[in-house]
Amino acid sequence: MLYIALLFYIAWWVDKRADRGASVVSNPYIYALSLAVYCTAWTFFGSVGRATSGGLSFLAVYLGPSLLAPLWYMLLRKMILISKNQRITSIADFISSRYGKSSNLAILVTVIAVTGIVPYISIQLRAVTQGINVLANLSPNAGNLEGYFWKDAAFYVALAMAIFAAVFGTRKLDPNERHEGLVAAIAFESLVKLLAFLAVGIFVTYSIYDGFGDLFAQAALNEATVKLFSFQSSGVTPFAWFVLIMLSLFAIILLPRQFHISVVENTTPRHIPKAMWVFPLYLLLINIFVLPVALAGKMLFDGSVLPDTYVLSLPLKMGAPWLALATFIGGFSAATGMVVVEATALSIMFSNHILVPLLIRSRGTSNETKKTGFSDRLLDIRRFSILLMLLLAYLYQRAIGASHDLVSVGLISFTAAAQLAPAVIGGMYWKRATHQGAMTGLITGFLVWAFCLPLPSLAQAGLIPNDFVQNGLFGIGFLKPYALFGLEGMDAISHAAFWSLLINGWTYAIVSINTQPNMLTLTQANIFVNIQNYIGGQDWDILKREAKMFDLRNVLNRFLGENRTQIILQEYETTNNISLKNEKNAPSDLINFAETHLAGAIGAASARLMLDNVTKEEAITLDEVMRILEQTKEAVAHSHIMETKNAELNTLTTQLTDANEQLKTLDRLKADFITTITHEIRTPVTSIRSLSKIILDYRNELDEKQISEYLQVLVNESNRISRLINQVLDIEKLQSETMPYSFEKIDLREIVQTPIAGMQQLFAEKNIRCEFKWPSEEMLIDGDRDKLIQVMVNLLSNALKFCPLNEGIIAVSLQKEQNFIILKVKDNGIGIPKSRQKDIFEKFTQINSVGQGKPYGTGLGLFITKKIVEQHKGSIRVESELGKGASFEVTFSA
Amino acid sequence: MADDRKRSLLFIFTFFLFLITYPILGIFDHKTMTLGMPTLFFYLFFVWLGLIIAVGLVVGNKR
Repeated sequence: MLYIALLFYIAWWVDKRADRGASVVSNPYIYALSLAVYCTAWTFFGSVGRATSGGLSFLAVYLGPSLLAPLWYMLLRKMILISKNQRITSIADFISSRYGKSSNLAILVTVIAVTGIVPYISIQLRAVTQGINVLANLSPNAGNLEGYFWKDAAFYVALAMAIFAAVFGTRKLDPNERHEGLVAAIAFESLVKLLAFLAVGIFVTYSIYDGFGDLFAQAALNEATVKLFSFQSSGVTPFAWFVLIMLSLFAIILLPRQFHISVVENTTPRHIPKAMWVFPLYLLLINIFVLPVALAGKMLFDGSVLPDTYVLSLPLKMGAPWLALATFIGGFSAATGMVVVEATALSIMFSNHILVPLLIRSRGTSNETKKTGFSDRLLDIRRFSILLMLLLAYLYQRAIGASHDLVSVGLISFTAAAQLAPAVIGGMYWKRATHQGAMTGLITGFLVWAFCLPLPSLAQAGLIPNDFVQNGLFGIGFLKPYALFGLEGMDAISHAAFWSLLINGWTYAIVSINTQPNMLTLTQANIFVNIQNYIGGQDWDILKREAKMFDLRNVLNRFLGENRTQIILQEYETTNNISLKNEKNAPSDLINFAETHLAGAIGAASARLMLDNVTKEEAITLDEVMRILEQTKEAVAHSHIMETKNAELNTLTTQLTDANEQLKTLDRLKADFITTITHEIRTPVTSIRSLSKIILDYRNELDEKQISEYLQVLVNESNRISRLINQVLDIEKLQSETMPYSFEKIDLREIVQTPIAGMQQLFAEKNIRCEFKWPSEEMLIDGDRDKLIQVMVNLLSNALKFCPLNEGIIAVSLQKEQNFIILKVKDNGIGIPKSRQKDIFEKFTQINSVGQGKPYGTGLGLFITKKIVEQHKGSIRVESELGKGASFEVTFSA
Repeated sequence: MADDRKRSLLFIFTFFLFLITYPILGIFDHKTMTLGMPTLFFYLFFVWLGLIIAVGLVVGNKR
């Protein structure tokens, strides 16, 4: 009683700490110890019993899990990540979730788990009852079978355990089904049972005997004990040994209570590596003395005492009742630990997948009842499930009686749990597995198991006709439960395990291949198989982390500055409505909150790294460092892209600046042009106006000659204006490129000759000589006659403009070179400075420097010329030196 | 590194699976004594300890 009170106290204390955010159980050693819930009364009492007949074969049950431990790093870790990601609360939940969240599958797994585990619970009841009876100096199985149940000690043990389990496992409702108090109590119990067993072992080996050597030496002389030294002599076949290892290897992850402790109650996958060697070490320690105790018991009692109770009988016989009591407490610890966790795990399944759906369906949807205390109801349902479970176990153990030793009964449960292996392990690594495959595999496996193991044992107990065991089902010889399909010569467990797992696996694979998964199954399969893609690099985010408030604040200060840290913490306080002032430890959501902010400042990977330094976790692993490097690499690649973009932008900017510059120049030129044009127009308009006024005012006084002179000026000035206007119009037309062209074959000689002849008068006025030698060859090109004449006129008048009076010479030549016709107009005028030669073909350019005053013209002539030449697919260029005249050269292709 | 560790652990699993099952186990399956203990007892616990140490070394080696 004192012991139970102590357990309650531990659970209460841990839960209280957990509520304050200071988790005691988030520790790899506690995790490893809590996994030792695997060691039950089976280990404590049963192993010794098994060793008296099967020698070391009992070790397979502990070697299997130890052997699987190295794979936990992949297997268990994956299961945990999946479960945290999918909020899975039981093995039934896990399987149904994988195969499209099928409720049928969940019910099936629950049924398998409950029926499969009932024998297992029953042996705990039996072991405790036997223990009490031995201590009370009664026959171990007193009160069993004969008499009414109220005289049966086992009934009261079952009742007490049910109450104990109900109180422990259903103290509060947690959406994630995590019970820290429970875990702490289990870890404590694991310590107690280990110490108790070591105490008995040391007592037997070193107090009764003189150490291992003495004990083994004496055993070697005894014929009954020496045969336990090897498998051959104790009748354990290699196959049976192998099957035992495999069954226990599956059991360590598939038993509902193991799944509950190792996956559901897990606080972080980071505890796995340590547990991978601590847990096997625990198993090794608790098993060292099993064989010595069994040998000692066998030698000392010579078969007069039930082997399953040797650990109690030996200290009693040797006059150490205090040790017997301590050992009983250890065994009681082992049994209660198992019952509590198993019953809790099973009741979660039973209520979530069977009772609650039933209740909801039967009650319909009355919102009122749902709201009012549904969680209380749920707890009641849980308690009821636990009671039911233990009642079933009690009935089973009463039915089976003491005809089998503890381990044989326990192995029935192991074989049942192993049926889940194909569905669970296949589901995690084989995407193609379907819901139908899992369903049929589980059903066939379960049926074969039920037919081969529990049914015959019930038949032997006389509950159902025994006939089928002897003669096969319906008298068919192939269907004997201990020799299915004619397979004989195996022990019952190996036989059942072989057939059930084989048929289970086959149907699972065959049906999976031949059916199509539905959409949901496909999605879930993808999540389960590729869980790492779904949690990204953030696999610890879902888990609880903790840190000292002080450290957290320090990290934030360092990277964000004090002001921002203060703001962030205040923001957290107000949104969560709590005060952090007196908190020593930072809640995990605050850590996540801080991490998000920190990530904004230094990147997600670095933020995690910084917080890992202050959270109570292990040091940075290399792959985390790799992840950071990866992130940095991404950043570098990103900045590369930015650089290229930047360069592109730069060129664009340069282009824009250039364009802008051009526009500015053009704008300036246009302004200049307009000034020039208005000036050009104003000059003739002024003279026209004044001359007209003179003629009007003085027409009577002026003589005939003067009037005609004035009128001539008026005509000339008007001509000038109209020429100017024509040119501006030409520009506009060229600009819009719609000036009509009429192309025809023309002789360039004529084009050159015509304007020269027409301008003879002008040349003569300035006393300028114009030379042109008529070539003998025809110079035919496709062109527009009027336009080409305009080119010639422009060139000539340009030359005329700049030629000195009286001494001017304009030399025009026309010659054919290969496929080109070259027209040259050369003058001996002022020339064009090199710097301006590029510009002169631009619009609005005038050479108006060099002290010649304003030249006559509009600045459009050469531009128009160039445009026309280009439209004839020709080109124009100028050669000139200041003071030495200019030579314009027009090239057409013939 | 993480992959290396996984490979090592997988190797440990298969290696020890062979050590603790037949036919290799058959070599030690005798009623004889070794160092004052039954040979099989000695062998199994020895291998078991080896397994624990191997796993401990691999997972403890990461720092």
